[in-house]
Amino acid sequence: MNKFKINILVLWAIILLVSGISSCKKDFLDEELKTQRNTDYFKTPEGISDLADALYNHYRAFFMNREQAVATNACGTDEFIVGGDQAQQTWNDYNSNLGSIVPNVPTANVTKTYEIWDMMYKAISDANVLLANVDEVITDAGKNKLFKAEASFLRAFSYFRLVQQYGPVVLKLEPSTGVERYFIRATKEECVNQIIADLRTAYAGLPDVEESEGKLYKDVAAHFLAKALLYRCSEINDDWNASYKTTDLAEIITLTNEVIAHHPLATDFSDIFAYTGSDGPNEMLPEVIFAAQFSSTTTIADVGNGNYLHLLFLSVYQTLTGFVRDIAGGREYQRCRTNDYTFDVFDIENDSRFWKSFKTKANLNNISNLAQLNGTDPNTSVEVTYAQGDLGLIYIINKEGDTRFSNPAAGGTPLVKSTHSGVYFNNPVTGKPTPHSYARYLADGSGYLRLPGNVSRYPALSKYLDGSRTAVAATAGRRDGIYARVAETYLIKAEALIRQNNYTEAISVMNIVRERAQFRDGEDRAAYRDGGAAVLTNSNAPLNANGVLINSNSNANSYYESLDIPVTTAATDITTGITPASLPAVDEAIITKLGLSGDYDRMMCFLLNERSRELYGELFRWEDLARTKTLLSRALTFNEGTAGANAIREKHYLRPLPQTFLDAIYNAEGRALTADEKAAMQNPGY
Amino acid sequence: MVTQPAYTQDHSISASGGTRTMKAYGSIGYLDNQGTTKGQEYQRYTLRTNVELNPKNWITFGAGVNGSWQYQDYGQSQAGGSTNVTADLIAAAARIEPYSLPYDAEGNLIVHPGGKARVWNVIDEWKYSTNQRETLRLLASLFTEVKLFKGLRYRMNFGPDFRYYRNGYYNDAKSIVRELSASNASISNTKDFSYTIDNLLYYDNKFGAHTVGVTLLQTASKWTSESSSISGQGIEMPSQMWYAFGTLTSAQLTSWSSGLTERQLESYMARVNYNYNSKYLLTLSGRWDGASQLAAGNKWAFFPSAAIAWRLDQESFLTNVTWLDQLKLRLGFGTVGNAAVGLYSTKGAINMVTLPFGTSTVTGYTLTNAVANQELGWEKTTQFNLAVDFAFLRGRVNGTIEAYRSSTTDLLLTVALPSVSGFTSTIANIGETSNRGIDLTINATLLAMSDFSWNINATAAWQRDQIESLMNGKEDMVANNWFIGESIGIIYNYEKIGIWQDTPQDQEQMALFNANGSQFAPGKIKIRNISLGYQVPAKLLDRIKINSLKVYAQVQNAGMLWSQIKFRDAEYGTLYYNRGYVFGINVGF
Repeated sequence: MNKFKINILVLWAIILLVSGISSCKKDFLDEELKTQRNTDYFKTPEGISDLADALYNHYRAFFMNREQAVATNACGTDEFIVGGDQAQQTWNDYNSNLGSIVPNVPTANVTKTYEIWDMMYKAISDANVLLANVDEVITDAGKNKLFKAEASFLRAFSYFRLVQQYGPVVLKLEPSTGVERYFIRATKEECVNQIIADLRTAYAGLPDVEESEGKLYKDVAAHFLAKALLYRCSEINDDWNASYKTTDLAEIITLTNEVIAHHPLATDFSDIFAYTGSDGPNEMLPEVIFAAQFSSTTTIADVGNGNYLHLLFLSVYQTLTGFVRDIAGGREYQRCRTNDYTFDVFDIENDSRFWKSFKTKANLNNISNLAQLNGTDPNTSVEVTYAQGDLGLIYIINKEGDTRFSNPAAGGTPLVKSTHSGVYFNNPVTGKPTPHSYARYLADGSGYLRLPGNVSRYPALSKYLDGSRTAVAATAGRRDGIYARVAETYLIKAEALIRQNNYTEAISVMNIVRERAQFRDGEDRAAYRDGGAAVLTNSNAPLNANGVLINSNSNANSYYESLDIPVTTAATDITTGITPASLPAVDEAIITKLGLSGDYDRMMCFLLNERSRELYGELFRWEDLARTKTLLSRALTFNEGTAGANAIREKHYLRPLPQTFLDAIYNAEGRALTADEKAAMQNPGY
Repeated sequence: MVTQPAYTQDHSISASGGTRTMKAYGSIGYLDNQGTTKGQEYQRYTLRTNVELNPKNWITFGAGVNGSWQYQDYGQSQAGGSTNVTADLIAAAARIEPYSLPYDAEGNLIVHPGGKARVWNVIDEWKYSTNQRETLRLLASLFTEVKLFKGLRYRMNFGPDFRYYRNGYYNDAKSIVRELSASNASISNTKDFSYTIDNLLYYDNKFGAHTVGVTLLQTASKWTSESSSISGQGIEMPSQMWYAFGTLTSAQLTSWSSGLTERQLESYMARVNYNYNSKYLLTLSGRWDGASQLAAGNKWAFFPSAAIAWRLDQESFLTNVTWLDQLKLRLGFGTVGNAAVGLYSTKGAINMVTLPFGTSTVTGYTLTNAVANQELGWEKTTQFNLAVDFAFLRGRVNGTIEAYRSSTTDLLLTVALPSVSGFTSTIANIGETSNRGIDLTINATLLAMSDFSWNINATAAWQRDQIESLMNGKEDMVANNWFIGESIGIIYNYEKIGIWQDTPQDQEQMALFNANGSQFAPGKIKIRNISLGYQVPAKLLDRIKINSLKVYAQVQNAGMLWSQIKFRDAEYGTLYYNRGYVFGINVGF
């Protein structure tokens, strides 16, 4: 019995020992996140400092997150029409698909209404977290002011985009710590006043000079404050802004003068866009006030993390015989196509900006099918052979009445071989016909470039070409995304002057920008530079079978071929002789087309045209036309897609609120919204 | 061009034996499965041993180990290629136009035969691309059982589980996935270790007609998983594959990562079984469970259950009914819990971002899209069950009818939030769903003759689930596709009118659709499986001293019996048949 009892005791001892091993510790179920930081980090000084740095990522998102930047700012305006790829047709045509839910028509690449909405509110939420915590955590007065200013700027910047796109929005100024669903829209006036107040905080707190490339400083706040004040004075807010106008306009002049004083214009317009590599000289120009930073550091420049814009404006070249897709020429997504407005708004003979913004020539680069282009020229009976680097594609932007070209399809001057395309154009310099030539006007006066069959053939906007990408198919571009440059500041000042009815002064301000746009004395008018040239220093660029770099980039434009005038290096002049009654010829033509009269409307048209010329495709256009309420007239006149079955209407001055927002929020009683409540919250007409 | 006839071998040997105080069992097995696509193969070695020791009649020790080692060559890998490369060699080969040329005039491989951007040249691709996966799995279970005194036993179980997994892929520079540019490789290692410790106490006793059993349990489990991976490009020698990352420069490394997850579970349980005369049975139990991934303060919950049963066939009034063998009525209810949420979801993790300023790089932190829920707790399902088990005619017919109703409360679901708050989702316990149904199972032996028998097993089930309430009572949450009164997986879309039938009107419609590339056709018949077996009679086997011998053959996925579309496997929708023939022998000693 005793032995038995001892056995029992021994066994109980074992049992208890083992149970102790397993888990009687109180903290056995504690979960510890060892591999990541959590939100408590934002209550420490290092956390706030890291959050302040991370805020800059939101400026990059606009350029990184696929097509929303272009769909909401460049499509559906007078500057572009739908190209060969109709993915953004919904945004260009304002058809019935542009609603709170945008269906995947025609492709899944179409931008949805929630993309900008969600992106901006994400930025606002980070800014709110910083603003809520900075006072308790950062005791250093200087840093406190700086972080507050950076966060206020981000918040104002995001709300500014939201208000311009969607109208009055939900004004959220405090961070959420848990689930929040009750939201109502504020009034437009409250939203705009909040934007301006935040910009003033930013203006007061930011440093005077840029501390490192891409960081905010006073001039950025001044530029955007001027823009926001101009927005407040614009026609779209005319139902409530009367009391603000006088003071706002005066302040705009002061602010813009301040920015202009610190930022000289670049000498040559193409300096701004002559990208040679990440953080190259064009990105360091004093003209650039603020740009979202992108870099060639491998960990940062991978897929999904780069500037996406280089894809969206290009016209197709890879299907032409003698061409293969390369890094310099880019991947042609052809969402936005240049149109007649593009060619008509510029004085192409005297204004260098057209030739410096659009790509009109490309060189042959495909040695495996070049040989197919060789043959006998039927017009000169000469044997022609082509080699890599020969001119292969030319867009000839000629004037109406030019009789040099006839339509090959209608029995005009024959091409050398069937592998050539377009009109017959014998290059006067080499004597060889350019294999693929497209002219704007034919001898019979009809348009050739804008024929339906040429929907993928147009001189493309070249401001975003990126020759430094790692592979031909790479979507991650490394160019910085410019948000503000001083040329625009001049035009903002000019617009404020026009609104003050000070037309002569406005013209003299605009002339400063126009003077830079002129051809200078001794300048080679046929010279051309764009970002594709960065391929020359790109170690990843593929070589062809002969070991030569595959490069379609041309350093020439088609100035002389288009205008058919003798070579000259004299300076041009587009600044003299402009008065409110007598504007330049190209502008008068557009004014007639739009049917405008009265000094104010004429001057505003001139200004909007000048904005086009200077800032073509730089993602300001839709917001400019919407706020000046010229979107309807200009889009209907120059963008035929908007005049379709569901023509652009008054409601299109604002975008529809996304359905994901309406479905997820609650009303004041804590329930989901009824269909009527949702309709009431949505913008009128949607 | 990319397929091969493949052979599979599957062998195993097992042995068991024992003495009065020891029982042992061991087996080893080997499986070698060659793939029908070139470059694919699979091999597996398995081991199983069990030992049970009974040195004294009051103590038992047991140990068992179950191990397997698997090696799989996936054939090819598209990692690091462009998104256009298709997912498998057979589909890629089917895309190549028969008249296009694979090699150019100098004998170089043409990456896109026929010049089409989405057609890839997969000749010899398996020689230049590989994906090899190795897994080692070891499961052990050890137990000790001690009889303390009359009716009382103590048992301890310990079960560790170890898994090691290595996944490596390598694409040579000549692989078309890399478009004839630099090679790439990657290796990832995962090590999972988990263990469970149970301490149990049993008490069983019989007092006259009453039988009582009590079980007490305390258990704890922990899972730990570590992983690491690295990938890079520009590997110099094909034989290096992923074994020589030290030779690459940091610019050639494309990604690297490592991770750790840990999870724990702890429980206490008490259960009582009681029966009177083997006619009336009662079970009661209660469990307390705690899970580490739930929020602090909500980690523990209580789950009770109870059941009663009545064996009617033992009752006096039914003893004379000879055709009735078994009739048992049971009624029960129980609650179980679910804590399957992502680990660390209540911790509020933030994201690290890397961004450039000019030429320098800076890291910062921002909020993620999901907000942490500090109230996250157990999801509970309570079920009521009523069943009748029956057997008639000396076991010729037996079956069960069961009706049940269960309701789940505090469902763990991801909820969509308005983006204005800065967060787009969170995991929360919201709502209730209910589920009810009836199951019927019948097994019948229709014919039982000396050398021929025919059994039928039939089951029928009816079930309906619906959402009872959501976050705010009886209100639909459209953003998540949840509607009160409908089931969770409801499809919110256009209502489909019907399925194509073989009528002239439908044929016309089909012609229109087929003209655009669809594949509609009324009905198709496919043969899935044919098998044949023969059991060698015992008299023959006695002579060779073998206990049992069976030979069998099978054809799987034989093909379409009747279909208008000849080349397509209608069931799986693929362009090829994975037709297999199996031959086997089972021998028992």
